[in-house]
Amino acid sequence: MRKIKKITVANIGKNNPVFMQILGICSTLAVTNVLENTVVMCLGLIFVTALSNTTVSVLRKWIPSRIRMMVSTLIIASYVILVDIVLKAFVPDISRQLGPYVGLIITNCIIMGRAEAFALNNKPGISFVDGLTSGIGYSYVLLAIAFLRELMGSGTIWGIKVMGDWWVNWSIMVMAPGAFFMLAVFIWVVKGKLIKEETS
Amino acid sequence: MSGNTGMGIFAIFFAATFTSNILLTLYLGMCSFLAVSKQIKTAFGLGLAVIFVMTSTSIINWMIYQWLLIPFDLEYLRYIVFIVTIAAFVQLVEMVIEKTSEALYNALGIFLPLITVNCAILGVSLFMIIREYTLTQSVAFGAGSGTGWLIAIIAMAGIRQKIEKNRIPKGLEGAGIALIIAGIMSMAFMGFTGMIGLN
Amino acid sequence: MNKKNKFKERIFMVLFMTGISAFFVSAISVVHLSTKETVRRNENLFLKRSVLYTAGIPFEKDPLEIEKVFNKKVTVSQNDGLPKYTVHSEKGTIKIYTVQGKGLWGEIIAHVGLFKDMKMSGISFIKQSETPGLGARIDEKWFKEQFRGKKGPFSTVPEGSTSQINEFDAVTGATITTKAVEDILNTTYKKLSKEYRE
Repeated sequence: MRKIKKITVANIGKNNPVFMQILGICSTLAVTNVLENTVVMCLGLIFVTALSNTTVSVLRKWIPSRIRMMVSTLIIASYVILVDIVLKAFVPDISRQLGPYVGLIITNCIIMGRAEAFALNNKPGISFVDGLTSGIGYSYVLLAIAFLRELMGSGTIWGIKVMGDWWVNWSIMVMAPGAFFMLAVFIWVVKGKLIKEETS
Repeated sequence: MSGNTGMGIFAIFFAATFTSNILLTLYLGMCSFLAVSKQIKTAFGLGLAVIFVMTSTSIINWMIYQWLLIPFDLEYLRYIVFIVTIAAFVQLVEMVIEKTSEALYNALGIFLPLITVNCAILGVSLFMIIREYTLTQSVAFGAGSGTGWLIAIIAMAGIRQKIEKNRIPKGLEGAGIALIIAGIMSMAFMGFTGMIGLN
Repeated sequence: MNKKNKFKERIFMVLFMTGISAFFVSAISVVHLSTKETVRRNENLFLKRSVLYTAGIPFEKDPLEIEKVFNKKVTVSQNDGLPKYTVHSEKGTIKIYTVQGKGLWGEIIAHVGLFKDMKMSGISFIKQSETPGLGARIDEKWFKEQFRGKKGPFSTVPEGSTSQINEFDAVTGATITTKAVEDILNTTYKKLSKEYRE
């Protein structure tokens, strides 16, 4: 139980994959200009991280070490296809908008990273928790970015107009550079805080 | 292959290299980008490996998709097939290089394992399917994306080497400043849009 | 390690990979086949919704309702090998054409609805692979809604400044996509102008 708590705290806070390791921003950052898409992507990512971590952990004793990366990739890819099929069948509109990005969850370094660093050496139960919390730790950062990008870039939240007519949309926020700047500012704030804590 | 055949391969190449740089507009391949961009030399090595693998796998994956997956109605398996092809190809290349040329292995070999998890490689294969490119267009797209990635990572490494000794706010050191540079580079690359008459 | 052991290890590696691939592929295939029908129905429903939206006919979310409204008001025929829909609405007969053209990244396919006087009833995009957040914004409501009651051939103006019947708002930062939409519409108008004069 204590172990679970420890992992959760680490993955969401101090050892957060995005802030501390800058991992896995590749595939998902691209959809953070619209909040709704980000939510779906993050849910998919949490699902895939948790389950692939568990599966790799279950198989860990039999996987030949030379091809372990290929095996993990195969497992991850299978879960991603599952997510893709489910999206297509039950939320077709969102699936249409996300296009190829769902497929790119496969190469999200977080999933691979957790499989390599954690699942290969730990039991299935705790690996599941690790995958789940890593996914959540990653997701809330991206959701915050998406929230601000959509708000500033389009003046909307979840597609609903919240800014008045006085608001001039910052188009740059919806475009690619916006995400880079946003993430940099986020890291700045969080790291700055951590440094302050350490020195005091 | 429908309405797309008209798009010239040069236009695709340049669009993939500059205006729609896979790294700076789609954020693909960020992980290795931030990790390896501290020195120009290693950045160059990785960049070359990326171009090679990207172009080759886009050809292989295109053939597999058009000639195997579509006729047998197995398109839904494409993610698995693509990623396994990429992983297998990278392993193969690694083995061949290891056996044939020690110099090349020392220069490129160490980067190859990194490439399997480079999102950009898979990204190129997926986008070329979605955009319904022909084989030649796919080659242009793969090579262009790879070149764009190389240019971006070298420019980044150059800038990072330069600012190594500069004073940066503590919280921004490392990844933070790299992201800001990437943001500015991304804006600069958007400026190419007018230059090649795409717009 | 001696040669025999190494060989054994290789064989195991291959067998392991084959086994695990077979397992996952079959598992996915089962899921795929069981949802195939749903996916196909979704596609179908998507097209019907697109037609009704283009015609400006309000509809409920319920699939059965959509089906009912569609069957009551719409007849389907062919035009140049592409589906053409004739909608009988309160505002008059609307013809909806399936049109296509080149976008920045790939094909753009749209439904374009025209009244008898060639004024547009609306537009709806059924396929596009433009850049998310930029070109893909043509699929947003503000962009599509502006076409209702307009009449081409069109020219474009900066986002948020349209005032004439033959103008529409461009999407900021997506010049090529905007141009593609303009071209698609203008070609459609050119092609159809003769047919409508008669």
